[in-house]
Amino acid sequence: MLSFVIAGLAVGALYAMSAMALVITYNASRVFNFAQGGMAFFLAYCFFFLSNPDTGLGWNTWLSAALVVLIAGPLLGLFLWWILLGKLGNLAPLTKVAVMIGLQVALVAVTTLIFGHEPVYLVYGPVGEPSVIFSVFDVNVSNEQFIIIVTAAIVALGGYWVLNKTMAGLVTRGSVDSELMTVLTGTNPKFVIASTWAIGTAVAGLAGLMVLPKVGLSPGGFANLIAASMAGAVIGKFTNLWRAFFGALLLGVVQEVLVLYLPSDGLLGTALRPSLPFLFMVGAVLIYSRNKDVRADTQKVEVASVNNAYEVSLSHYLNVMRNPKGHWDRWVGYVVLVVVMVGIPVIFNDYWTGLIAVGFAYTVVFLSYRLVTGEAGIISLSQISFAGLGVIAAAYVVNNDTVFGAKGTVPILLAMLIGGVVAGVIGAIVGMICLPLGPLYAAIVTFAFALLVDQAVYTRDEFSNYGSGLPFGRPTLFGMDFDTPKKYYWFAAAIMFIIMFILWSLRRSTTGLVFATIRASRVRAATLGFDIFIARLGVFALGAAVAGIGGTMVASFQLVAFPNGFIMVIGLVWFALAVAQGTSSMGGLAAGGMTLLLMPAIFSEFLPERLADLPVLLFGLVAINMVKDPIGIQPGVRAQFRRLAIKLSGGSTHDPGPVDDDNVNSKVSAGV
Amino acid sequence: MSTINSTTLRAEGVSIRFGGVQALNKVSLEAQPGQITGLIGPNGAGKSTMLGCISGTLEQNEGTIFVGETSVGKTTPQKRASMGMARTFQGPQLVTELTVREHVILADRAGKQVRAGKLVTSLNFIVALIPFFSRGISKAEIANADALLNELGLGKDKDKGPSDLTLGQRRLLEVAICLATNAKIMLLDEPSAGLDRSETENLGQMITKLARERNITIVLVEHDLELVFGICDRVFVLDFGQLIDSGTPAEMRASKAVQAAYLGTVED
Repeated sequence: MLSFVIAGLAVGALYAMSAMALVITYNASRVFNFAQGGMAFFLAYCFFFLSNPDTGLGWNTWLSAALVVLIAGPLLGLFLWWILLGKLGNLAPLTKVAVMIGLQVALVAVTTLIFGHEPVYLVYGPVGEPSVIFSVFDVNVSNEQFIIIVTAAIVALGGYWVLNKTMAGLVTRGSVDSELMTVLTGTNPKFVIASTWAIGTAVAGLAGLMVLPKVGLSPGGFANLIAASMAGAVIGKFTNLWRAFFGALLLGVVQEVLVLYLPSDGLLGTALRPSLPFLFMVGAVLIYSRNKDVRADTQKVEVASVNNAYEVSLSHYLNVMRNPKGHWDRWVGYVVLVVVMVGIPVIFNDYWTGLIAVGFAYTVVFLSYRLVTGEAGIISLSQISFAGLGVIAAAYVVNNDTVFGAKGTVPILLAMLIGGVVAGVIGAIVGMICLPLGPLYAAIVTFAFALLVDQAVYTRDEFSNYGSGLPFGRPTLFGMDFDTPKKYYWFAAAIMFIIMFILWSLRRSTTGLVFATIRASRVRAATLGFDIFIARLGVFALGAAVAGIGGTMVASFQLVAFPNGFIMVIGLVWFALAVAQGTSSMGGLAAGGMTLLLMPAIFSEFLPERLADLPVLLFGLVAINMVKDPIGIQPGVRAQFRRLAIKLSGGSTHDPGPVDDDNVNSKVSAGV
Repeated sequence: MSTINSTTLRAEGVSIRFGGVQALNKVSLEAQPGQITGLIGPNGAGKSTMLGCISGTLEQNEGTIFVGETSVGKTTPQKRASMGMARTFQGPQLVTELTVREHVILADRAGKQVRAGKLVTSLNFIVALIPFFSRGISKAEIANADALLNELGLGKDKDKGPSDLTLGQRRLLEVAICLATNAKIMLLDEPSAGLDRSETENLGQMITKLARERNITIVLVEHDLELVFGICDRVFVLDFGQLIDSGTPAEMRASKAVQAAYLGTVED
């Protein structure tokens, strides 16, 4: 038992260090560091390059670790603060999360572009090869375990001492509540925030180096570390260093001690331990859910205000679109669309037509972001899991005897619908947990859920078929077989347009107006009598169902239901791309779905394999660009077309911009 | 004792604390249908907090609110909306994505929906997903919305978004939303702030007409005492969370307590 506790303390200490890094940066900047896994991954690769004698410089491991943690880490934090993180302070929660996920995606891509994209699994940390250094009650303690536990304790005590016992800590805590008050103490608040990013990145890097022997150099392994540390951060409500530390430590200990009591196989044996970060988070959230700051942590931000950067961009866009002239431009768009749709199967060969057909399937998955984020304003990082769960359910009913029919007898189209319904039901359950929470908590719970599905569901042999995926098929409808790429192209296009039509219909209905109100002001929606929770839950479940159907369309084209194509790390890229294109825009989401498929295919056709991650880097960068353009790329492009149409129609595109609230207020108070 | 109708609004012993601050302390008031009840007091007196407790956006620590004989206790704002309550906000809560006209149409539909009940609302949600069945905006809705907007002087701005309106116009749009719901109890939080004198007079006439002709219970929180004393039937005065006096406008104008609250007292 004691040996498991000690092993658990070492694992928990890793989680705790990472959790503290999250808390330190959130405390000063109010930005939750979704990119911490990418930062740690980059720094770990720097360490590997410096210390590895075969592929790197072969320097002393302790010297390499010191250089990475004490110099490269703080410099990376400062650099990122200078170019990006320092500009996030007053942005809306969705924009902050999207930018940080874009940064995560971009950092991982940059790392693999620099150091190579083959995962390295056998890596030693700064301690080197583990060896026993002493025993406690006959239980051996390795040098690695000892150093991890001691380092975490030093970081925790140091962090507590700096935050609570020094002037620097007082100023840091003060700058969160009032930058103005910090200025009055003679301290530059920007310096305070930049310093915490430097320290937070260094601590994240330290945790990254320590976790290397456990997870190797793979982005997925670092994502697991971050999920566990997020559980700690949620337990600490993002700001309490001690609660985060002990919460993460407890998680590590429970994870290891459970090995003693669980069977070695079966659902309980394989699924419970990886599920623990999610269960800890849900437990903490349920305990805290009576607390208003957890229930709706950004109610103030969500209130409509023309001072919010998102609202300013949106009002500029809407002013152009509300101009009475130039509305004929949409017909130009429709004509171009019809010509392109008809032209593709004629011009392109089966390979490219098939690829575009899968692009339509991904567009359907991306359209789920329009429902979940665009309509209901929910930051969901688990759309990919709903797609994957839909795929699993559809493939399961086709390959097993179930209530829907014997093995091999269930029509593929029915199986696809079943996939959508199963995803929708699971979406409703996840929604019940995360929708009453504020947007940041909801984002984190969905992130943890996606990891849970990766580890507890996709790994099960009855779904993964020992890694090779379950066979799936193409649909038939009224005797028509969609068995060639060109036929499937029309099938996928038809489903995509039907779902687009439904979403268009939803937006112009009363329900669409209600969602616009809920996004802008929940207080307004509540006092008008709208049941916010039920409406958002309904649309969240519908979004999950649409993602599930999209997933089954992908599997149907590929003729195999392969759950590993729907893992969380890929889901972050999807989210970054969808939000960057504009979640309210169906054209943008279609562009996102098509880009996701076509850009890597085009790059792999014309560029060397070493640059395979370049498209992913570009996806990350477009999400980061939301700092400048919070409503996304496609609405901007759309507005440019409308401006041109307005000019061609003889109208004026002059936009005075939104009326300045503060200016109006000052005039009112001055009696003007 | 005054008559209690189904839309009589009563607050009994309402108290609320924010941390160490006692924002309201055992405040009771009553508002009758067909009348305008004013709620005044200096800055920080607790007027908007009282409207929050009545509308359910804030949860009082003690006391209760009655609509007619029914206690609304600590029910949700949605429940109170279904009982015919609507309100405006001091800091306008408007939707950037909707035009002025769409705000009014939404409020009109909201009013009809809450009166129809939950089942119809759920059906509306499902119908909205069926192409061709979802309801676009009809000509009749446009005509009704435009008539209301013209009456409030917002007719020429009907196609603008809220971010293109001045603060005064946004407050008027708040009033338009409240009116469009066809509510039986209306809580108006400083609707005249940002309006000039003639706009304020127009607003006052409209509120009076509404109360009298549609027999609506109106609670008006205002800083413009001229407006309050001009149109209210009864006035309640708050100071530091306490109800310090109540009566007719003439009585309140003459009240020493009210004068002291606004102007301060001179120590002998």
